[in-house]
Amino acid sequence: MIKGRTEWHIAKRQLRKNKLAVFGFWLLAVLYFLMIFADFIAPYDQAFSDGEKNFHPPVAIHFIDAEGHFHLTPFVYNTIERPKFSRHYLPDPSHRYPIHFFYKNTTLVEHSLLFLFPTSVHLLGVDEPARIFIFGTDDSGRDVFTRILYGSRVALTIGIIGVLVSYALGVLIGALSGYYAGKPIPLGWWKGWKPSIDVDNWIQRSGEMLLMFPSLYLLLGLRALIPEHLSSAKVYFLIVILLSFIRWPAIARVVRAMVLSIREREFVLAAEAIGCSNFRIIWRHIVPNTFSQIIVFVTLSIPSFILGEAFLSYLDLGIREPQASWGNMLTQAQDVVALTHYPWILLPGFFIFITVLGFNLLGDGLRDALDPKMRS
Amino acid sequence: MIRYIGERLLLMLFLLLGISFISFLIMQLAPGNYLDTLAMNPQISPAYIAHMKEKFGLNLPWYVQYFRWLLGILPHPVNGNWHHWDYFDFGISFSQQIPVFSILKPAMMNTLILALATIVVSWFIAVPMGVYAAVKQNGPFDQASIFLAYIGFAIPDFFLAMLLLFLASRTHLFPIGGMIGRDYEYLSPWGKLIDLFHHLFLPVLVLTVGNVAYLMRQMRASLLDVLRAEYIQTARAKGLRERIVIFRHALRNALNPMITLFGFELGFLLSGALAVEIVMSWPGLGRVIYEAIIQKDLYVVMGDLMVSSVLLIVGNLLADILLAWVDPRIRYD
Repeated sequence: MIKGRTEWHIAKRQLRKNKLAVFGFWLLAVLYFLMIFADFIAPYDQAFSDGEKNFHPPVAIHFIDAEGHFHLTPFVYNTIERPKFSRHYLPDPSHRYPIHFFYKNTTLVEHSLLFLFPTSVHLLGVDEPARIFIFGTDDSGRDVFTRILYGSRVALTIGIIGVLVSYALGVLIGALSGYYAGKPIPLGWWKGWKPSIDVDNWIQRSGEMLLMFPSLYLLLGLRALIPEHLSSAKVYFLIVILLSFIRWPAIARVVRAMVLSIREREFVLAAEAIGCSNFRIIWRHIVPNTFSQIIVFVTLSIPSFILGEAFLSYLDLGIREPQASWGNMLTQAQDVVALTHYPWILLPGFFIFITVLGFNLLGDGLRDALDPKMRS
Repeated sequence: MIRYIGERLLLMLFLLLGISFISFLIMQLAPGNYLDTLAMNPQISPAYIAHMKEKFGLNLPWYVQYFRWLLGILPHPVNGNWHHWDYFDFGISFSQQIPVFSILKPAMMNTLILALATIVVSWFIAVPMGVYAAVKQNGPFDQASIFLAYIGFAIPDFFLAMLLLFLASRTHLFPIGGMIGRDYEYLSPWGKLIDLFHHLFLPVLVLTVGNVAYLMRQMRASLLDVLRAEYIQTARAKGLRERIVIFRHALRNALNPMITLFGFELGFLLSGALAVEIVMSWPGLGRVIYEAIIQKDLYVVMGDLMVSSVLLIVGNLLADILLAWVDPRIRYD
């Protein structure tokens, strides 16, 4: 018996052939892996700070010591700020601090791996007073690498959650709009006057107004609505809601167009004929048919959520300290002096860049894979 | 055509009214106002706060405030003096105590300089690149341009601006933000222009990167689409040189969809300019609205939103008119 090939099987095979999309997929896979095991992979925790090592540059990892001997385990030196407050750090080669793997760091608070197993074991670690600052430290001596890993929890989830919310909103409104396109709802009649309300028209016009507006202006304006000082968790969901509010018309338009074409297909007519309710037709027959197209659109809209969050946090209007976010880590780079002398504080921006790149590559790959015209 | 423009202008008026109403509502709903922060300062007496409240009409209901603000923009006689008319009165900035319009006018010019420079530069780069990529489809240039476009798309505006600021401060080749140098006043007219271009370079570069990536891919796609048409085959079959086929026959038609993009571009640029203006301290509309939102400077926010909406709508209208003028198939009546 020949195994039937579904649409998804074909799409998957097409996707595998696209080298850029595969690259994007693995880029994201690595980032999400780092996010899930953030507290284990990070050598410190996000609140940890070493007050004597502000703006410490990335530490040098050595194999050969001062006397020229080779060591199999890599090691670091402790560094001392000389002169004091100059932020020039000199290595002290008198003592080697080997890098331990699966290092039990009892000076830090226990974390729970995968939210289940409380442990104080970290992937890497060195004995005090040396520090393993792979990407250097920020203005208060916090490890940039650690905070990038913790910050990924905001950036990598906000896109997905945001897209789910705006997808739900967009599908709901788009499906309604498409279903009622060209069928104004009558509001009764009065002396020959038959008022009716054209749902589709209203939805589309108000959506266009939202789409036309420059999105960052709208975001800033809406952000002004909300009290400035809120907990990070609240701000997180507020950003999701604000961005979904801005993004829904784009999804609603796509869904509406699809609904308009699906609406006339036989199976919808059949459903109508056997007396299905409008809600059931939309929910059970029309919405599932929009999935394949929408998944592309959704993948390509995730970056706008990540960028929106990062920008708001950068302006100190989003996720705030002590919770790390890639955006609020960049806030320190607003100071040109810090930016010039300690460029490693720009590294979170690089992570935003590769995340957005990953989603764009994967999204374009999906689009080509799901489009029968592009198949080879 | 004139009828169409008239209709669009009328629509624009309603749109602006809608936008102004909604944004006024948003600012009113937002917790706290400018005077609340002043009231926390122990050096400012409650009597002064009360006086300010009276002066700005903040003790009136919000709809009265809205109508007062709206009527101020329309031409109106000053203090009942019918010989002295005023208009574009967007209210007074709480924080700077000067009319909002005197803040917005220079900011609008600065944003327009930034946006127009970006448009000119990016079209000059993107169109030839897109054409070349399409003509040599799947060649090394095309492949490289796909790669560059991905990078251009993915890099956040504000991060790119920071990277460039870092390079500028390390190399001292370009000024670190701002629009004019410290010695601007003492320069000759040519010196002033050079100084402006010097400051303009980095912000325009940031905006151009994303814009070129987008326009180039669109140009390529549009030209490839046209090159598949039958009249191109005919042109080739009758022995025209490839150069003539592409520049006389294909490019002209491929540019039409690009003109529609031209209208959308202004919105895209205004959004991008907001980020760049904040990072690179370019004194434009984006920077003004950011500072005003932080300070809860109500009338500055409102005025800024109005002015940027007008820029946006006018941009879209111009693109529509341009399209009708270029493409004889499009008629609006």
